[in-house]
Amino acid sequence: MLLFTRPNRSKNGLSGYFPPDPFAMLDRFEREFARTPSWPELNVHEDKDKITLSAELPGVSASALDVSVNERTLTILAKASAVAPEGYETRRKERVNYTFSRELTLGEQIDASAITASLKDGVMTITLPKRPESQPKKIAIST
Amino acid sequence: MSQKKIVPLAVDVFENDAELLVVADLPGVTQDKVDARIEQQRLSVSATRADGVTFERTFRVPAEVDAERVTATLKDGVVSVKLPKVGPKTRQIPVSAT
Repeated sequence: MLLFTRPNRSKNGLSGYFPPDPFAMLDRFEREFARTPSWPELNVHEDKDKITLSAELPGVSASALDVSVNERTLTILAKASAVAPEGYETRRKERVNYTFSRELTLGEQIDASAITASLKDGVMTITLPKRPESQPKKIAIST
Repeated sequence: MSQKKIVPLAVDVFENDAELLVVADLPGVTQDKVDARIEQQRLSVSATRADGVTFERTFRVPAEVDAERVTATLKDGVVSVKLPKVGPKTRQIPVSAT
């Protein structure tokens, strides 16, 4: 039940504010969960012979993207900075600094040695080819 | 695959003595698909991606921007539009001794 522990608000005189309602706590937990860094989104598309991962990573240069495979774990890490350039003052700020970080476990059908990654115009594409033996084969029906 | 989707651009606006700098995310957009223009003190930036997603945003720009010298560059899916200000900010007045 540790996940549902509420922060101690007694200092602010708010200790009586939250009723001991398990549903209220669950609701709060869900809101916290929704704030986890799941942005930018990672898209996964599966074909017969490969799985393609893609993500929009505006502002990430090739040197700021790190893709690595260790055993069956694929790790993707990218950082984008949206700070004011030297000598400029900020008038409006809608873009944010962000870190894109994902760790995926590859299925046995993926040929880890043949994975390729590219970054073009701020869009990352990673191709995970399937091993030929794991691809579906059409079996001819003899008559 | 084609989907009609208009995404409002997220932008940053920076300023120094010489210019305004508008920075916006355009992931997946190639240089030839970016359209940036100034008309009647309005800067509009729009771009359509191969998958049909359209990015769009229009701003009012201050009068002191020199529309003739506006430039835009695209790098890593981020467009930077430079809007130079008109004329020198300060003018040195020569003081003559009497």
